[in-house]
Amino acid sequence: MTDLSITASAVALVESPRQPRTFPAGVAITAGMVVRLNSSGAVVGADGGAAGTTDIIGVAVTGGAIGQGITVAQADAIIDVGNALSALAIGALVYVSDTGTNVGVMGDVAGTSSRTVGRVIPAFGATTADKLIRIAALDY
Amino acid sequence: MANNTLAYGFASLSQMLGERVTTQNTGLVRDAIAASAAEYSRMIGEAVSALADRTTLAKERYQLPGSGTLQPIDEFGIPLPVRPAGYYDVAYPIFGGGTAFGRNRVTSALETVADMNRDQVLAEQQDADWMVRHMLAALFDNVAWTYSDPLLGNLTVQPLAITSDGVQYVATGGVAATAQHYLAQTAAIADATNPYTTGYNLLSKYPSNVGRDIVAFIPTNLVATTEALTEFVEVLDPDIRVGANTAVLQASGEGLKAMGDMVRGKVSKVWVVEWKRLPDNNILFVVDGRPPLAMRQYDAAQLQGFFPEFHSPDGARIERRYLRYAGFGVRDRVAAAIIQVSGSDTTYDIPTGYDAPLPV
Repeated sequence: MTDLSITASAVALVESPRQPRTFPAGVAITAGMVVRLNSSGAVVGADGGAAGTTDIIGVAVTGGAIGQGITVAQADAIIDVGNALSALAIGALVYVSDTGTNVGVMGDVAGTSSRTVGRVIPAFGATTADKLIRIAALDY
Repeated sequence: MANNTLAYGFASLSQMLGERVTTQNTGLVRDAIAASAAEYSRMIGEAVSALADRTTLAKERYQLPGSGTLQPIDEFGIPLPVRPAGYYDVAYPIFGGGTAFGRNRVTSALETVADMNRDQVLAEQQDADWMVRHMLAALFDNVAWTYSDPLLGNLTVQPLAITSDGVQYVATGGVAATAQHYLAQTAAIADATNPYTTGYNLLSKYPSNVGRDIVAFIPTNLVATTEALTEFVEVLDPDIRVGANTAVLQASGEGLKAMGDMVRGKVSKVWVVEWKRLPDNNILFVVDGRPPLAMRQYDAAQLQGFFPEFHSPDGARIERRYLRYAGFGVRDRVAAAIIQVSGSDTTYDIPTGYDAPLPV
């Protein structure tokens, strides 16, 4: 199992069929974290270790401290995570990882509680395809 | 596995400001951006002028003049009526390409002219890359292919002259024959295996090319062997006083440089221009003043050229898009030729990345 090593400054929202929503941060959030809502409706990091921590709403595309607004790329959005996908094949699934506790890490293998974040898709800004993530259909 | 070539997405405040310099006594040099913009603009403008005629036509029919001679007659003789016949069709595709830049309401308000200029330069570089690759693919691909036009149906995009399709071209002297304008030799460039003589003889035999300069654009890896040819004469260097008994070129050839990088000299009646963009071991021969390609665009003026488009999906995100619709196909099938050298065999192979139609 390999976790995605995401550089926050490389994360960007590329496309979103729905208006991206902004939520207050329940903990310090960095761009690129896969997030869920806590009981107060604030975003916190997801965790593949248990079912209760994998009900994700999307991937944070901005970062901030507790209380700051965090924009989340939700279902069907496309995000750029820099070179974090270089080892994954186009079409590969990306999952919520077990790594850490509620820190919103993504990986190439399903966690204890399997939850798909999205799929690697190609982008053709160059003659060799670049890799982005299309967020999967989610419950939210 | 390869990293991404580009970064995508709407630029956030930290991303846009993160590349600026905020500390004292640290300058931000944008020379590379300006130099890149100037070079790409020069290259693409010259390349289109030298290699392509602009058109809105989808296809054209070239009528051939025919050949033959007068029938013998005597005082009572009556020649039999004849009909000029023969033609070949060429057709041109249209493809679309675009790029875009995203801002949010904050970064849109805070961006500077320099930020916008940087986006503009990147867009122009991407456009130049797209145009040159598509032009070269139209020349390098030696196989006819089908373009499915939404209005006109299937169109056959032709390569330069090839013997396999049976089309005959009239050479000086009135003889009509098939021609092969994609050649390959296993030998490297040398006096005994001089491709420039071949290229000159191939192109100069057509009435449409008579009296015009033949220019060979060569990749960098062929410069040394070309300049080593006995017949090669270098362009005059104003910093060097030429010794006695040394042949020098009277003309600089600068007017023939077009999209190339440097006029190297002349050999076997052919001007030699280095063009770093070309794939190794491929010599592109063109006839000055006879663009071999047509660049097709839509009739509507608002769809021609490299044009901007603005969009905001939700008022919070702003997109600036730059779009182009164009396509290249061979128009004058005897106005250019390609000779590959140092190959593994004498069969012409389409260089990697230039097999039309290009997917990107």
